[in-house]
Amino acid sequence: MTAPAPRVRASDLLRVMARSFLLQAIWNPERQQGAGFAFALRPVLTRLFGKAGEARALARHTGYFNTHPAFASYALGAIGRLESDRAQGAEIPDEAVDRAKATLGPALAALGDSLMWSTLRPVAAALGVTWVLAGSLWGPLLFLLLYNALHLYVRVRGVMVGWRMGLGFWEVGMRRRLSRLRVGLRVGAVLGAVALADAMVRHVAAAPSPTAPGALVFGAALGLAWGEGRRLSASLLGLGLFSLALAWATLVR
Amino acid sequence: MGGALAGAVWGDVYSGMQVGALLQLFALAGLPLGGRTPEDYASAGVVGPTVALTVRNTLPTSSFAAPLVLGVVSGLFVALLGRVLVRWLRARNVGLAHWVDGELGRGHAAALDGAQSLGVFHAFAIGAGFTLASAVVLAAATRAAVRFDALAVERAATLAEPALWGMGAGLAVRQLVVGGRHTRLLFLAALVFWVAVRWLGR
Repeated sequence: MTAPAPRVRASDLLRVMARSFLLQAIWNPERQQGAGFAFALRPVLTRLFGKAGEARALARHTGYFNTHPAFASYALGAIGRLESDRAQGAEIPDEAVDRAKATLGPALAALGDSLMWSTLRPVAAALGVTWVLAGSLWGPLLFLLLYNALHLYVRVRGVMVGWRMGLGFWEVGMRRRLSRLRVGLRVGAVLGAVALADAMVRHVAAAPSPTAPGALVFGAALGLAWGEGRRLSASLLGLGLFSLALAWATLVR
Repeated sequence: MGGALAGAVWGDVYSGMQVGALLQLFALAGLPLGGRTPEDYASAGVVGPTVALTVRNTLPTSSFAAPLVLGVVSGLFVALLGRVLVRWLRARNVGLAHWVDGELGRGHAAALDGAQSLGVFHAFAIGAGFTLASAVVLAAATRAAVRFDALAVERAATLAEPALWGMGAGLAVRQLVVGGRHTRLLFLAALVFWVAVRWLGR
């Protein structure tokens, strides 16, 4: 009879959380976050399988994986739990672990992209920029604090919740709670948009040039219209805008 | 944040922050959704303020419009160029991932940590080198352009500064306000009204 696998400690989970910051260190088009996922999970695998078995266990996790970097914490906790249950004797085949990763990756990416990238980041940036335009030196700090408060919370809580509930974390109202949070952030987003537009108008109103109002409205229309097909990058559009202004300034004297 | 730090290095935190703020609004249009390789706004946030604050003294007027525009334009250029570099770096990582596979097959678990450290070192060294080289080249190029025709640059900036701020606001609002074409048109109409009220009330 083989001895039971050692229990995973809280310090192992903390190390998983800390290592998850390097999830994308060797991001590549072939396996995306695959190697980073194995790297982050290593403390749990080392505890469960020892020095002799950890390389084999790690090799099972370097395959394709991709999700939102912060929300990967939930997958790390849940997969760590699955590996622990296996090591304690539960009948879980390799394919079940692969299938769980393949399901969690896109599902968490959809949640994370819409909550963090499409909502929280623009809200934090709009409020930070509004403060800068109002003359405050605290704008960048406000942006960092607003964004990272939720970002770090998700990173820490994700590993813990994933570990405690295993794959069940998905069914215990997580989506309902996050969609409530998204609604709250959406309200903040509308307020952020109004504050940003007001700050922008006040900032440009200080310019003595008579062309400034027209240029501001033209630029805003271009920004709002951008993205219908998204074939042209916004940065390239900005460079094009400056080139037009330079051409006008050179040719029309 | 990069703008504030670069501004602190060049002795004007607030001006650096203004360049960084406008670049931040453009960055919102290129977020890494669904595995998309983002534009390199980290380098842009350092190069933009550096160019703006080094070219400032070569301009004939004290207005910050022209340095701001030159800084933002340099930042946008660096962000686009940096994206090519990030893609190249990520393609190189395929080889590193394959090497890790081989080493894990031979039982060397520590190879994974080594590969991760190498990945971080590569990204940092290449990113820092690219940022430094871009800052030096673009600062020299913009100074040369200003010396060549300072008047044209100032006039172009008078037109481009509000247009770039407007475009940044438009890009941000697109992300902030969920809705279709009608919502955006409504927002634009409200902006036109607000601009008119502000200008008439001056």
